[in-house]
Amino acid sequence: MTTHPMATGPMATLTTVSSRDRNSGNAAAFDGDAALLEAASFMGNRGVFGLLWLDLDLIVRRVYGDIAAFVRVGEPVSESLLALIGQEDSIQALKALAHPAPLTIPNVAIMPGASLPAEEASGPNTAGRPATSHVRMNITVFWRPELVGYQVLLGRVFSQDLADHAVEDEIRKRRIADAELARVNQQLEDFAYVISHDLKAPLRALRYYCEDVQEALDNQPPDLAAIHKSAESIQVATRRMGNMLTGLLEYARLGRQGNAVEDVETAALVDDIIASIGRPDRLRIVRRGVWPTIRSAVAPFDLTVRNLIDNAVKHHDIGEGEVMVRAEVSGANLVLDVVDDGVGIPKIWHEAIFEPFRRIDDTRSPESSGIGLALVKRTVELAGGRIDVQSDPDTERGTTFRVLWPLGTRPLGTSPIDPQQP
Amino acid sequence: MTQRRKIMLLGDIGVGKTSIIRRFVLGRFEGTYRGTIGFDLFTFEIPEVGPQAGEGLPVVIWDTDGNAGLNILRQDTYMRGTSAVLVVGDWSRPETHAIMAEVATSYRRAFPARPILLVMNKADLVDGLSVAPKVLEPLISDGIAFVSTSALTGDAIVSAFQEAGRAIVRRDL
Repeated sequence: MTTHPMATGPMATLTTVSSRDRNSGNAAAFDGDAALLEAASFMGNRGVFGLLWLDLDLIVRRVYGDIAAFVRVGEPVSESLLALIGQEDSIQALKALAHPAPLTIPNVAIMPGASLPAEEASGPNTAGRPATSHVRMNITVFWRPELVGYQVLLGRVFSQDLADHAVEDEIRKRRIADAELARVNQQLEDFAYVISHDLKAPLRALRYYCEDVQEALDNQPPDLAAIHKSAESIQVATRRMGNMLTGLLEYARLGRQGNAVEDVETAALVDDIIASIGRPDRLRIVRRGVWPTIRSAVAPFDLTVRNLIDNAVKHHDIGEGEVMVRAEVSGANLVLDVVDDGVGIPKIWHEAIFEPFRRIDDTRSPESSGIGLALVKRTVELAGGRIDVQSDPDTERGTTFRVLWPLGTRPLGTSPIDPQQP
Repeated sequence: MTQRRKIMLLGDIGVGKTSIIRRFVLGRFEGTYRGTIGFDLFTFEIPEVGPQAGEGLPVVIWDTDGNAGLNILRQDTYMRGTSAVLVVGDWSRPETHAIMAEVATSYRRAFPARPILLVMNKADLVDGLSVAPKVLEPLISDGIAFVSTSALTGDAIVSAFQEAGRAIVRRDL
């Protein structure tokens, strides 16, 4: 954006404009024509196209220039020059200063409805207002003690050409797209790191167990007990790798599956889930609270509840106690808590547990893929909800996973980002 | 005559500030994106929230350049006389949520008594999404209103401005 000097002589332009009888206000209140013309010459040489004179009460007394045609004489200036709403005290304060700097508001376009195409002009904003062409302007207000009033200059802001604006728009669109791309790339990079790191662990274990077997075979006689133990460990490690790969596939598929939204009777569904989960005899799973019928895709809701309950059972340190699944409706959400009385999760793990393959303790469930909570988090977020964990083993036992599940949820993966929407 | 109040829309680029205003003022949505450069000022009347029963509240709505970001807040010239701000974000772009929090926090610090409305736009892209992002929770807990809107469908656009208008009248700003 630049401000260009006037192409034509400022005095001629001013004379032409001022010859229109726009000075219907109280012109006798001041006599500033000589200074006005002097100022206009100054302004013209600097590309200023409009001029207003205001009295001490900020009432418009004279208007010059097409750019200011929408300003009404005899009204407070902020009635028509809307950018000055709220600036009245600051304008008044100019006269109290010994060497006041002008008050400047650059780069504004006033867009009353009448300035828009006819079919757009509607509503109370159009009433009785002369049309403007929503010119973009710089507004500068001076205190002129010799005239006992204020001078407002309106300078037209030009774009170099329309292409400038188009280029700027393109740059903005690119910036949005780049930001989204950077976010996705970062996620991908993090994901690749976790996968490459964590899949190596069972592979490394396999190599060590194979070396143990080799060593046991080299003994005379071969150490069959050691071989047997290593073989069992190999089975556990391979099963874990299989589980990890299966979970990874499931995780990658999330968001690409089309899941139809339907009425889900949550109470019946959760009872079925509870009945299907294996657990130690002394570990109860109970359902409490209010379980309404909701509009949701069944599979993601099932995956969420099942994994949270399964996780609570699988990682319960003593295998004795209670896992409670509780729900209530709050606003537009189903608030779903899965509460256990296990050992708890240290706070430093509260974020990491939702990353793929991150596990606090390998010994409790050695074949676990470590992807269950990552699956849950991604599923909940794709459904438009949120999950949090509350636990502090330093103060008490137990963990609560809280899910906010929107009551009228959309099918997974049906929310593409639309860069066209402003 | 009721005094015209100044409302500003702030937020990152592309979140739909202009679309929200055009939906409110003109009652329609335009799908083509054209970024706001500088400031565009619109006049309108927020229906039914004026000081007298059934009266509208005349306002001038400042549509701002998202690229300007927090710089707008730092320039007293622009913010002076503002009665309320709508801080706008985009449901589908999480990075805009953090910017909302930053803008709202800075504004609250600079103008403690002025109403702020957190407006999460493009609800049509995330049908059913209704849980406010976590990054905004401290502000919401602190009493700042949150509304989910769609300039595309018009959902909650008028009510968002009415919410801001009521707060202005209530606090006589």
